[in-house]
Amino acid sequence: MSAAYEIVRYEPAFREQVARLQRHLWGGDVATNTAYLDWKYHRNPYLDDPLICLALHSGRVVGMRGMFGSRWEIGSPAERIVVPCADDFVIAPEHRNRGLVAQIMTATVDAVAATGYRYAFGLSAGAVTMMASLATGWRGVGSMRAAQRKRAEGLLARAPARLRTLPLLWRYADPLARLQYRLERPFARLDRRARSAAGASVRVEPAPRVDAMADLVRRLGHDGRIRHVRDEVYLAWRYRNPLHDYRFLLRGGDRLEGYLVLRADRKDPGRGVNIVDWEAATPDIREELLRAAVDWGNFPQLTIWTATVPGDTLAAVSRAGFVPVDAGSRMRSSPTILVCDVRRPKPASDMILGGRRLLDPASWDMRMVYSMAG
Amino acid sequence: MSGRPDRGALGEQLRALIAEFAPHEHGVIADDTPLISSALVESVALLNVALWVEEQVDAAVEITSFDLAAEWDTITQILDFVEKHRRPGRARPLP
Repeated sequence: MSAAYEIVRYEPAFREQVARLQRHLWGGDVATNTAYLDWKYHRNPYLDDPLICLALHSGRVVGMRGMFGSRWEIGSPAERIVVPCADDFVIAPEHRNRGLVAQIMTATVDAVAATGYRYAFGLSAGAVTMMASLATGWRGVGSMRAAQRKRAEGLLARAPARLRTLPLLWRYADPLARLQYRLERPFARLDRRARSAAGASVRVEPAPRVDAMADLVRRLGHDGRIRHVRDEVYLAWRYRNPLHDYRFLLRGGDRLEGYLVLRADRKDPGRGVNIVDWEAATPDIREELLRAAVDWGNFPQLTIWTATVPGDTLAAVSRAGFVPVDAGSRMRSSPTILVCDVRRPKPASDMILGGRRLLDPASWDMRMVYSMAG
Repeated sequence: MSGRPDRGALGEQLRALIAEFAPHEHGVIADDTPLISSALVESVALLNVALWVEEQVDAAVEITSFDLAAEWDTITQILDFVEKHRRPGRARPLP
């Protein structure tokens, strides 16, 4: 018998149910999930109302696909365009393999079209969501070419990720991760070493210098490729993600010469630390920031996306010991940009935004912070 | 002799893989049954199909470089893809 599902737009009355459903994706703590939902959708600076589609079964929320707002700049002089970004796709386990994926994916794209947008992006899709997206008309731009620098890690660090895959035991993954986080705070060594590095030109802070970082981005200019607007509004919002902790490596005073942002996952420190944004006035300063992050942090696993890193910086990344993440399977290991033309019927021609071809990797200047991996 | 399963055996493997994740009421999966466009195969099932294809062609498949819904919509199309791309030797990105 086919189950009856109703696809509806999110309303605040569903807030608690969504936070509970997202235990299957975001993490087991409902209060943290509620904070994340509020931050990402209710306080998003670019979309006034949450753009989320829900699947209901007997009046209960059993599936979700969200679109959070993002604002991009393209071309020179830059044209600024708001684009909804797909994320947070989840279906309750007992409702999987019932044809619900296509229903909720299609409904969400239709909701974007009805709101008046032409394109949607997907920047954070895991393997399953990527496949579901490709099956419903999304196109991939190409791999972000993740590279990692690893040191040997202990059993405790790997345990939460392993537990999540096991029947019954999955529920202990988050409590263990939180315990691990308290015992092995990912940034403890970085903070300690930065404090003791007398006379160092790089300093480490736990909160963003919003004005100075936005000012540096403006001063460095823009080559016209597609990138997220990194102004004061964006930076102030973006680094309040309640699922992550950040550290900001800064060089310079109010007038910054460079910054590098590190991110750790609160609920799963075993995922390691990511370099999510990185800007500097010169290649030397850029490398100095990287060296500070690597040497002071000595993280078990440090990841960066290299697809749009400039050539001179790529050499510095390699010198610091990063190697490409094994691409034995393209499905498992490659974060990618997904794009969707939401108009119906779909046009056969290429997708163009601000004069740039969206399916051409060379059109993009991607940073991990634009995705929710950042 | 290659020792590889023939097309008929591959088809049965693929059918069994799809049936494992398909909706309970799917019925018979014929060679020309629409898989993706009918939502019979979606998300986890499609990921498993893609990993199975990679195993058969002994190479990583660049899944975003073609129109998945158009080129893998039936068992016949998927088997055609496997036959076209499988080769001995080391893995490398396809197509």
